[in-house]
Amino acid sequence: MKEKKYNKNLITKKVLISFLAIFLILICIGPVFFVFWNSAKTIEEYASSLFKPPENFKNFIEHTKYLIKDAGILKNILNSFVVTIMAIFLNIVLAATCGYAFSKLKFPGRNIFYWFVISLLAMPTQLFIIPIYVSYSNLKLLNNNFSLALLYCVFSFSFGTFLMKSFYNGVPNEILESAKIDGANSFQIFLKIMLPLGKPAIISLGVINFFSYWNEFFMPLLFNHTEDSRLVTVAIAIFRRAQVEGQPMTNWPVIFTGMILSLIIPFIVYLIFQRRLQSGITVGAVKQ
Amino acid sequence: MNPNFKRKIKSITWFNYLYILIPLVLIILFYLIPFIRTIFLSFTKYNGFSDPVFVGIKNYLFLFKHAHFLNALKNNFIIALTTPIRIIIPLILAIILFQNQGRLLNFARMSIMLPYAISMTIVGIMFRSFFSFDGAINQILRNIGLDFVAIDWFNSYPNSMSIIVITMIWYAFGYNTVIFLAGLSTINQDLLDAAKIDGANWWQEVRFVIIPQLNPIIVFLVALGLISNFKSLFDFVYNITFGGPGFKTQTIEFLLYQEGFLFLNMGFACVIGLIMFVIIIILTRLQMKFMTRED
Repeated sequence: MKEKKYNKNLITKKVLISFLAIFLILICIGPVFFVFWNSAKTIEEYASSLFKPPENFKNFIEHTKYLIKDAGILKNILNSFVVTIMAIFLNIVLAATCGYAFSKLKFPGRNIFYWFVISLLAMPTQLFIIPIYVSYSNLKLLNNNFSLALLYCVFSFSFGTFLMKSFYNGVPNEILESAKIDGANSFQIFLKIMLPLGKPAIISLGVINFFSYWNEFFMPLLFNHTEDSRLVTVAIAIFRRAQVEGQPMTNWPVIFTGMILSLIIPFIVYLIFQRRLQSGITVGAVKQ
Repeated sequence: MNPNFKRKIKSITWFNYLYILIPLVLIILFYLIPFIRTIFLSFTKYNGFSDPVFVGIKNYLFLFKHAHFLNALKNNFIIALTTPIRIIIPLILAIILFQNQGRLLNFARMSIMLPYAISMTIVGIMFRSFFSFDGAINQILRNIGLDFVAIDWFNSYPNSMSIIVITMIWYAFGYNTVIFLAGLSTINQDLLDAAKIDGANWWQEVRFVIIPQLNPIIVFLVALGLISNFKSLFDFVYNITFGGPGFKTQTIEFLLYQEGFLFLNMGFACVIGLIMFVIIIILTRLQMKFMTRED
């Protein structure tokens, strides 16, 4: 009798948990699926029914053609890609060298410098952006992918250093000592030992940076403002705002198509590196 | 110790500065000099093109006379008040996900990070479309016979604000859940077993064993959430309401953008930047105080 009741409880629990799981999946994936679903509709179809399946998936192709030809979205995606890759590369180089220096090398004032770098973590970008914008504008650096990538890199540099330092702190000093005895100098140790050892942390950092750079909005909105140099997030936001102001009816299916196109590269990265992303973002929280 | 050796050590130490040289130069160029110039510009009238004109503390006095500044600051604080929701929902979810196994749950665990991979811009536009007058939410409400609830969400103040908050909850819960899950995997299993032997029920386990051990992470996430309320709402405000209706849902980040880059009132925008700086310094101080108290 008692066992039976226990079983019953277990089954209700299992059912409840399954419902919760389905609910979670719906909440997370549902909105994205809804956007995809409706991107293949004409504007009339969209207005009449949001939840019916699209009549013809060709409309998605039509919207894509329109976005590529008339709105130049491929150029925007390419810009996003170039800026993101350049910034990731710069950031990894700087963060790895600094993380190594702060973790394993000795120099006067090391802790003060490290404390200073870490204290920049919480600083709002907006505090520095106005003078930087003015200088960039005077130096003709606006609408330039490289100078934007440099800006991204600088404003996420302290997080990268923090991540690399906490990883290198876990590398035993004996490895360095034995390399020193073999006659390697500190730079050779960095190149031949610390960089290969740091690969997992470097990949995590690269993945986190990929998402924060690709998704950045405020800086590219200000700094890459011409039509040719715009990044894809900004291009879609501006496209939507132009719709609100110019048209009697917002053409949501076309906007949705643009959103889907802008999500292709992040989704591929997400699927490949999902584990890395999770382990990377938890480092900061669990290992303070 | 022979002097030769000592000199060698010393030269190596100075060589080590080369590793942090480039970052140091970048920090001076992109943080220190702009910070000093922000302070300088906050005392001037400046439009970005002609020379700045010194006006004393006029910009600071203007803060209180400005039609929308106090309202914008108030909005930041209102959104900050919703931080607990953004912590409690993920905490409960993480505990359930941690304590149970199953194929569906594993899939849920995988999909939970998805919102984090999408940019705030896209998320903002998505929710703008869901809550627009003929959008998904209103159509669902109409279909289940709740026509009177299906209003124009962006037309009145508290409603348009609540949509920003809803979007933030959706955007943040995956990230927070993942962090809690990582924290849960490090808690002391022996204590949990001991509590079970003593006959603790689920709630007592959570309340007296799990939550105390998660405390540092809770403090971290609350601090992170609070700080982000004062510096990273711009993407949502720009894409969901653009500060509207009127200027009602502006936040200070948005006001800085509007004053500095749309109205070219850069001196005043610098003052807003400094206000953000002060708020964030206070919040990080509080965070440090709480964190050290835990130890």
